[in-house]
Amino acid sequence: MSFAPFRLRELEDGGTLMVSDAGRFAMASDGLVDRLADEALTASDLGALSAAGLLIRDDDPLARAAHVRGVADRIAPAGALDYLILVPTLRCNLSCSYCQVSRVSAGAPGYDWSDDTLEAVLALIDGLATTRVKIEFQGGEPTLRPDLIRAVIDRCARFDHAEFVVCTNLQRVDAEVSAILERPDVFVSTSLDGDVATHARQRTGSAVATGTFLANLRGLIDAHGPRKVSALPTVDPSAPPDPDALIDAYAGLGLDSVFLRPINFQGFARKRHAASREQDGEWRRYYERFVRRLIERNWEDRGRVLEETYLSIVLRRIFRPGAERHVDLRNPNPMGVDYVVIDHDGTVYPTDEARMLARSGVVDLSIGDVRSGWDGPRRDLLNASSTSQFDPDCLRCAYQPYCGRDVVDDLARYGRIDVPRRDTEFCRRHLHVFDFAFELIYSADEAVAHSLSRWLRLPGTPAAFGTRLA
Amino acid sequence: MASVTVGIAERDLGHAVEAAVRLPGVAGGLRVRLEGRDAVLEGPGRADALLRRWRVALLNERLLSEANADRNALLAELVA
Repeated sequence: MSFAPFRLRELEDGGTLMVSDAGRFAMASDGLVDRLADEALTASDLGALSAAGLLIRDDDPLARAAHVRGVADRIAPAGALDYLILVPTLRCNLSCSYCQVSRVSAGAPGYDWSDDTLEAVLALIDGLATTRVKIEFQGGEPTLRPDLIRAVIDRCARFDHAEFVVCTNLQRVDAEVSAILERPDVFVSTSLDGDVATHARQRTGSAVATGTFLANLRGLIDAHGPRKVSALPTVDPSAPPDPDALIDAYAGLGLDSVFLRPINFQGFARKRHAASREQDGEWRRYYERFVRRLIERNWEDRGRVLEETYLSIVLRRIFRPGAERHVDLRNPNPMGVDYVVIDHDGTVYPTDEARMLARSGVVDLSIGDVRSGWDGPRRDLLNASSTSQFDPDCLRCAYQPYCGRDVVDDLARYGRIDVPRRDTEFCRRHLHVFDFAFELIYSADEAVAHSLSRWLRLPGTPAAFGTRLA
Repeated sequence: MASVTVGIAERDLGHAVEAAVRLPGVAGGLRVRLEGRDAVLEGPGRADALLRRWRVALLNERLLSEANADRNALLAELVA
């Protein structure tokens, strides 16, 4: 007797991918698929499937143990709370048309942490059981309250390891803000939408303001190196920039990683960019064109590695289970367990997108308050659906071991969580990116292999990234 | 657009409905209509490509069904 814990995915180029529940995979020949369908596997087929981890024989306890371990590695553990997204102020000194957080103007009163809220946040930090913490400051524009950022950072001195990310538009970097950003444990996340004209049109509204932003950005990179800064573009899918222009805007600043993302259907974008609710084939073709251009440029200049951040995350999900903790792509995806968002008024949300939905008046997904806690029925209700393990569509999907579950994304787009998975943008998006990843994995192009190796941080370039079964 | 009709083998009859329902959602543009013991496939591309997709979808359903008990037992083992 044997156990065949794999699922099939027919790829556009005609190949049939076989993926086990542990994430092991192989490309099946047409002949093998036919023999499987006709229940006519040969002894050689059985041996090959076993060797690939796709067939577990009852008389092979070691193979079974390895498979069980592999499946366990694919199930994301929910550790202790060690990642906080803090929103010290909702005020912002910009007004981007697609602002997903629905900011308020810089002079608006009542949108900063009160003294009471600050004390509650500091008490929360004091009570964290972890020895390592990551704190991300979001907004609004958090640098409008450097005192609050500093108070939190100072309170984290007891941890063995503390890392801070300030998500900022870099419009105002005075001495107080600079002192924070210069710390070696502080990193900057900012938006860079492309060339000067694009960035001005979508974000700052003026060439002068864009110039200020670029000067501050260059200053940070020149002083601390490109690893200090993570920049992300927001692309309008109806008018995406030329890939080289966007890549040049990043590469010219020494930034090698571009997280290519379309306008997020949140905040102001829900009204001003309604088409962002769903992405179509045009966007996905642009994405592929962008990545292929990165591959070409990496081959032309092998001294430099440019990457699209999300594709690298996906590759790590395929090849290195447990190495990637991207909270938007994991299964199960526990809400309010290992990370939470604390808003300007002390309200606690399970994700930043949940905060945005509440701000937009779509649905209140708050799970508690920083003072009184969030371990209650609202969190439990969200967590009851935060897994793809038993979903009828995900059960059939070859990519289930690599994929995730995002209840909040479904609520944002459809107002409910019971839309058949296959009909959701989350599913369509990830089917596309996984299909594309495996197209690259099985490509015979040495330029593709070179980029894949570098994106996976491999010391060399393997002869092949995937097995083929005849 | 191509259209092709294919008979459904006895062993796949129990899986054809699920395959017909789910395949269009994951294979862009492909539509499946069941007529008795036949499946009518319609979609972009060549007929042999449509047939291939359908054959793989049916096989996937069968494999899922056959592995279901062992798969659930393994998950229960991990949860325990």
